[in-house]
Amino acid sequence: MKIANVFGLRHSPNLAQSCGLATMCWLIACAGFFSFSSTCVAGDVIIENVTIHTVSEKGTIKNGSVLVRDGKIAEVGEKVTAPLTAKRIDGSGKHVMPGFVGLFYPIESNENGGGETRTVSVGGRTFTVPGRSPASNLSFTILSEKLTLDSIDWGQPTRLGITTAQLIAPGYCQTAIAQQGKDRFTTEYVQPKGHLAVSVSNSAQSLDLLRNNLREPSSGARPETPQASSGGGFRGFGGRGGRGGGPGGGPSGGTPPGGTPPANPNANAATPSAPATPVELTPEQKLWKEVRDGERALWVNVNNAAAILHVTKILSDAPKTKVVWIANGPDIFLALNKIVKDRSTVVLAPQIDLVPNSRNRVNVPALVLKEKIPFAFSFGMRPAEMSRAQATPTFALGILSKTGISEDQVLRAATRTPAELLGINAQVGTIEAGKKANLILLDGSPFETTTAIDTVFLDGRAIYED
Amino acid sequence: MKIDVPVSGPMQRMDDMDCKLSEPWSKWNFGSHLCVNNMKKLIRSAFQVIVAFSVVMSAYHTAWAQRPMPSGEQPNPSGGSGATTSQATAEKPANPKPKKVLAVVGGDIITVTKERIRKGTILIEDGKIVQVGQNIEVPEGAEKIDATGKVITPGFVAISMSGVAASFDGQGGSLADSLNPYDRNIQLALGVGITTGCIQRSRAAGGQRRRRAPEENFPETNRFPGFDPNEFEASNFLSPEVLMFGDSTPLCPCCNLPILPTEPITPIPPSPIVPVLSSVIKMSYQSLDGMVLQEQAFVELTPGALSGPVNQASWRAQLTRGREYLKEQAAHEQAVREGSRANPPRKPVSDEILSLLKREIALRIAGNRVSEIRELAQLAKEFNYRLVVSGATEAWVVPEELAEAGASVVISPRNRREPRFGEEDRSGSWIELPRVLEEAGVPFAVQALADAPTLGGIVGRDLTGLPFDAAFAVRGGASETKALASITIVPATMLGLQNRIGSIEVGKDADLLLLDGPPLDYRTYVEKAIVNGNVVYDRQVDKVYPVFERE
Repeated sequence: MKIANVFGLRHSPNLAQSCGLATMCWLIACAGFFSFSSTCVAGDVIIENVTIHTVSEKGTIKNGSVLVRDGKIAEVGEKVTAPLTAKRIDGSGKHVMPGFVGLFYPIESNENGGGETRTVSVGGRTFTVPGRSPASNLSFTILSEKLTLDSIDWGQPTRLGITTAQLIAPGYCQTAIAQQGKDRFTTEYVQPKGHLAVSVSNSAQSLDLLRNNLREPSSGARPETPQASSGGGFRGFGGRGGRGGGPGGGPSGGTPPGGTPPANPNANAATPSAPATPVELTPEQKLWKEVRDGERALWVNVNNAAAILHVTKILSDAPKTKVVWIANGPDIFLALNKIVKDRSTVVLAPQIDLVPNSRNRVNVPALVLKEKIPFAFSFGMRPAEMSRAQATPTFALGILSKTGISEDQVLRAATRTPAELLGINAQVGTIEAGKKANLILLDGSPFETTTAIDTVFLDGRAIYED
Repeated sequence: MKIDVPVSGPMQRMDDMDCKLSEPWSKWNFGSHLCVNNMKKLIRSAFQVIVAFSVVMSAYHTAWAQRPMPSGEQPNPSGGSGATTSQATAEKPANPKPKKVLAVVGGDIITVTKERIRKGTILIEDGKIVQVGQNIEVPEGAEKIDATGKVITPGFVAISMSGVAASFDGQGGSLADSLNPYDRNIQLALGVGITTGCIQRSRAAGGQRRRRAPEENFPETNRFPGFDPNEFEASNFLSPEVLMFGDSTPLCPCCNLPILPTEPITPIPPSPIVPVLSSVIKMSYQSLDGMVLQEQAFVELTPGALSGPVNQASWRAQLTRGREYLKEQAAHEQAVREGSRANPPRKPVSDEILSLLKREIALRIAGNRVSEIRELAQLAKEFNYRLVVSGATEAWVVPEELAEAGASVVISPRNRREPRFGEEDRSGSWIELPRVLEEAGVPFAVQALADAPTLGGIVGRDLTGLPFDAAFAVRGGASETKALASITIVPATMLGLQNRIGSIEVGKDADLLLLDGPPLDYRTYVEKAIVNGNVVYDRQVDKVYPVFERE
């Protein structure tokens, strides 16, 4: 925003157009002297005289520098020595923070659009709307096997400061954790095999999926050998198998109802066939086993507040299972006192919500915090939010930090906690030496509502500049 | 002042507090007092300091007390824009304590089944009523609700309800999984006093538009003079829906609900015997616990399932087989007790039919015409099962036959149907139906003109009009007692739940209403609704109905 300051303009979203124009002029004018551009990768980059929100134990460093080398953060601190050849970015008056980690980036599946309709009930009356209910699509998808790497446009999330995102398919899937590739139309996996995510509403169909798979497998169930080719990651479940069928309700048939495979097939005395060779579990069964054992959290996208109650009830039979709730604020507001505190994490949109059926506003994350339930923010849970908040994501953070959550907690919930939830906190989430150089350079404090994004760095590359 | 507790109504509240704190300080002008060398003034200023300090302290105290509570326990000091309203009830239902004692003190208790108790106390332990009477000591530590000047009645029972608290996909899925205790319609229902409702889980019956059989006695030309059906071009007058479904019930162009018919009742064509599943649920707002009261409420058949000789013969055959099976089974059990090892008899009919024959459950079926009602009563008498006739528009013609069969009926006192041509004295609706039924000793329950909370409002075709529909029974000559019973103990008895709900008696569920007037008065509001001993509705908090206080 250098040029804007020269002209005495204060940067605001309304002025984005003029600023963009000004930046272009500035870039052209300075091209000879200063070779910083969005496509340049090679060499070291140092951002100097900048306020660094590390979101780590180091806290906030005023007037510090971040040295980026080979796409990674090489050094962070007040005194950083950089080689003379390093490109220098003057960050005076600016702030730098880790890139956002988006926890919920829904991928539309074109397989659901096949002319199906569903009925929704609003105020006691029913309406027919196109499309299938997310909670009724209960075939398991391994997203990374279905997704083509050029199908996502990263322009919008990037403008919002999202550098890493968990991609989630509707219904029931194994998510994928991804980032922008070499340009905005290519995708690059951070982790192709992510977590187990399920959409749940208050219907028997979706709840039975949880119930059957969270229950410890009964000894009478016969383990099913993995099916090599059952439709590229889709397994026959739920829809065909009907209620009471576990993941074993595939084409082979003959699986007993409730047939999740036993955790330890060797111990299964009821199996008539040679039990000596351990039966290999399908990826789906493996995931559920890890969820049951608490090694991996289950991501539950709840449709309404009632679904929270129903899932909580089911969880009482699965004492080790940890849950990440993807929910909207009003639903969490209603069911907050029913959530199992010690095994839950709540993923919320960073915003002030309305109390259900009223015009009153409420800071739901602050209520969650007061209940001592861990929570994380996910930017851009809905496409509309993404376009609304682009380039000014700190507006939400500013509002929240001024109405009940400390600044530290706000930042942590937007970057570090999501990285921890996804299990990629060794790579992203904080500004520490050795981590990926996913940074957001802001033209002011992230807790000011008027601050806008200056530059977004992904692996040390500037992928978005305002 | 920096407050870092969660804020829900954020800016405005902090500003309020700042004002309260800064005001006393600005009044206290320190400098002007110091320069005056007068003892009196000094004392006065010292006094002012103390006053100012105490004002500050009290202001701080109020500010602290009124600090925004996430649980919403505190009313908003600024009045109308209370930021956290409905959460007050959110924390009440879940109660980890083993014994929760609640006392409702000083109200005028209408028990329904016993005499009225003035200024009485109801003691509730763990959701059950343990004591009712005038001289009851409230134990230490009991939560007290002051009901002085209020009328207390049992919660109302909606014998026919839909679109409340549960969403079904129409396939009759699991009831427990479909419950939605956060449904807004629960609040609307509680607000008029409905604490229990019987919901239909499969769509087969009720509210379905069906083709009416042609009426021979009443040709179109007689109904509409000058109307010639041969020259009638239907598409000019009827909507495509009506043409397609062949329904004579017109739809409201505004809300698309069928407009209530007033023409004479035509016979229902025989339909296959299809069972319908209904369940009884309680309006335990925000809690799943204790929500399901009964999975199957009735043996229920679609309208027309028992009309026509074929249907009746098949029904008779089923019941006869069931009756014989019950006899065989009794004999078999006797034999087993005596040491026999014979195989048990094969069950020829469904369990529902057997429960029906054992009078454990009632049969509910629609019957509006005299002939239908007569046939249903005859069958019930023959096989000695409990019969509930819903509709029962023309039941005033044959009350004795219903009484003889021990049947009860579900009526809508506001229902209006014209008499049939030539049968004006023995067909159609009559406002005095409730009186006739009461005099004949036929128990009647009242259902609202619509099963769901619609846009009709409390005096329209809406579930929330239930108390007013009962009031119309009084208009039709029934006593107030019977009219109140028609939405409490009578439907409870029909559901077989007379030992749990429907009246205020020791041992029953604590489902109570605190009303600000007589229960059937159009001016009366429900102040508080208690379900299973938990306050689930408060007029002042939930704000779904007006909140003003009457002088």
